Parts: sequence; C-alpha cells; structure tokens
Amino acid sequence: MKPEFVRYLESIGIYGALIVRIESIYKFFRSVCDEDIADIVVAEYVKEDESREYEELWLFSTNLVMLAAQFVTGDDFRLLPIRNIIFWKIQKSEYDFEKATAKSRMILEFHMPGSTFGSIRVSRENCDHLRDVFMKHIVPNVMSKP
Amino acid sequence: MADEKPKDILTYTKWLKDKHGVEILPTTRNHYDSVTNKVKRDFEQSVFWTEMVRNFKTYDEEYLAKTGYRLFAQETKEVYIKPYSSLFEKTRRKNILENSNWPNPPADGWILPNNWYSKINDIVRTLFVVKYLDGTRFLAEKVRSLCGQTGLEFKMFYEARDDGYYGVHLYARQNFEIPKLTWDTERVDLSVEMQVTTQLQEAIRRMLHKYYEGRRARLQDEVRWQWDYKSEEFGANYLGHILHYVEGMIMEIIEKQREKTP
Repeated sequence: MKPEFVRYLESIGIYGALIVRIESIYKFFRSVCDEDIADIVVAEYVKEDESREYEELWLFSTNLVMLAAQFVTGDDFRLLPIRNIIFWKIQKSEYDFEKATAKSRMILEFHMPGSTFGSIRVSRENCDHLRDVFMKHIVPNVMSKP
Repeated sequence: MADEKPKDILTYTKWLKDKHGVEILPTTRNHYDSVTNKVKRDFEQSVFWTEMVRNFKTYDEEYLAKTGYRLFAQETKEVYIKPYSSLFEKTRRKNILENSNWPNPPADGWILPNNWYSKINDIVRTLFVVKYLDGTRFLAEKVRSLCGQTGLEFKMFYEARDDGYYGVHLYARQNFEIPKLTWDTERVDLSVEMQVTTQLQEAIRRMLHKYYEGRRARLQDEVRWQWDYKSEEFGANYLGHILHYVEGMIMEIIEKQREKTP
C-alpha cells in the first residue's frame, strides 16, 4: 500500500491490525482492477465518547470507485465506473471547506444514473481529505450534457 | 379516497411522504445498514451476549444431567440483521395491512423511520435450536435469568400461529448508541430477538419460510387457506401443526419413561 495511504490512515486514528485489514482490501481491489488506486477515504463518525466509528473504505482510481462496506468486520466489496455523475450533495457543519477543526463534519453524496449513489460521512481533519477527493474525483465527473 | 389503503410498496412509499412527510431515499437504506451493523457489533460485545455464549456449555450440561439428553441440536452464535426490504415490508404490514384502526394509527402508533429501531423488535436477532420441546422452556428461563443479572428488560412470547408456525420468542431490550442520518449519534432502546425452536421445527421452518414471507405481504384472500386444499399453504401449514403435535407426543413419552425409571 502506498505510504501516503498509511499516513492518511494514521492521521485519522487507524493503526495496527486495522491497517493490515485495509491493506488486504487494497490488495484485493488491485487484483481485480487494472487502474492505479489514487486515493482512499475512510468514512467515519464520532461517538459520544469522542472515539471514531469506522464505516466504509472508499477507493478511487481515474475511472472507478470501489467500496468496502462495513470493512472492519466484513467482506462486502463493490466497484463501479465513476462517470456521468448526475448530481452531488454536500452537507457540512462547522467546516469552511478550507481548514477543518475538531468540530467539523461533512457528508458527501454523489448520484449516478440508475439509482446508483455513494454517501461518505467524515469528521474532523478527515473533512479536508474528503474535500480533496471530491475536487479530484467527483467534480470532474459531473455529467455536463444530458 | 384519501383513506384508501396503499396497495403495494410503491403506493405505501407515496403514502409515507404524503401523510407523514417521510421521504424514503436511497440514503434511508444506507443509514439502516450503518445503524444495524453498529447495533450487531455492540450486541456481540455486550456483557449479556458474551456471558450467554460462555454459558452454552454449562446450560447443555445442566440439561443433560436433568434429562439425559443434550440441550442444543446445533451450536448457535450467529447474530443476524433483518434485511432492509423485510423491515420496510414489516412496517407496511403493521401500518396498513394488519392495522385494524385504519385510517387511524395502529394501537402502538405509526412505525416510521424515526422510531422503527425501537418499535420493530427483530431487527437484530439470533436463533437457538434445541433438541426437544422442553428445551425451549429450559433455555428461555436461562435467558430470563441472565437478562435479570445483566439489567436488561426481558420479554417472552410463546408463538403459536394459524399458519403452523411455533417458536418461543425472547426479547432482551438494550440501550444502543446509533448514528443519526447526519453526523451526531443518538441513544435508542432496541430489542434483540432470540428465537428458540426445536430441531424438527427448524427443519420445517426453513422449508416454510418463503410461505410466511409471501403470505404476510398479501391482503386477505377470498378463500381461506384452511379450505383451499390445493394451495401450497394448506400442506405446508398443516405440516407445521402436525409436527408440533408430534413433538408434544414425543415429550409425553419421554416424560412417562422418566417417571417409570427408578
């Protein structure tokens, strides 16, 4: 796995066995996908005790988006082309889209034809990371013509 | 016309929006997956469940000493999540099909996304398969006792339905922290269902499950299944009743033999 992915995971509190788990998922997608995986995002939210609950692992390449749903405990993998995005929706709280704080929260939704959609929820510094992924992989793929 | 019952899932979805302002979106299902997976994980790590799993062997040995037979027909540690489609269908059944107060709310109120985790009591469930009929009561009492020790609200129902379904349903109600649709979390009281059934009932149940699911979604038929001897339900449902009777007879024989044994 790319060193920058490990740095990202550590920045959101993922270490040890969970990194090994993510590495195995990464290897799986690399084995079935010809394209280089350019970015990963871990969807998560903050619980009452301020710890994070990790939900899905998202992987982005130039033309594809891959998802490992409930990746901590299960193997539920999905892959689809990321193009012709019909619309996207961003909900955010205490986040100026420039520099996230400990209170920042963000949800990105992107919809494709045929009722296919993705929804990624993140918190704290992970908002900045999701913003970058949004600019790189979602915005350029919005369908400009019907 | 405004009080006409929605006839299918599509009209039910529209009714939810028109009547309650509840829009069922693709994210509703995502949220359900997120919540139920969290609840399942938390339940599996709860004091109640870890104790329960740890006690299986003790329960089995205690029953063996008392009856001469093993308690469990198969090892069960799996916790299941109700599929979203089944949950949604169940809310339709409760709100519409089986709602005798229609067009007013059912006795326990409308079941909507903002309360369905606390109102539907089998979103997270497990199944214990015991060898004989008396094992259901034995295990139910063990679960009741463990709920008491771990401070959980306990409920028990002996299910005996017209359609030939028999099973003991136990409910342990716990408080769970679940994610909201946005970024916060909230706390809900949610019941985890533990079904206790016998080996024979489980065998037939697997076979009959499709009938239960299919029938419950339908409106009243003109001819009741008890009179429609050519229908699939006729044979399948009566098989359920007969099997329960046979299991009762088996228990009677076992208990008589036990009484005779010096």
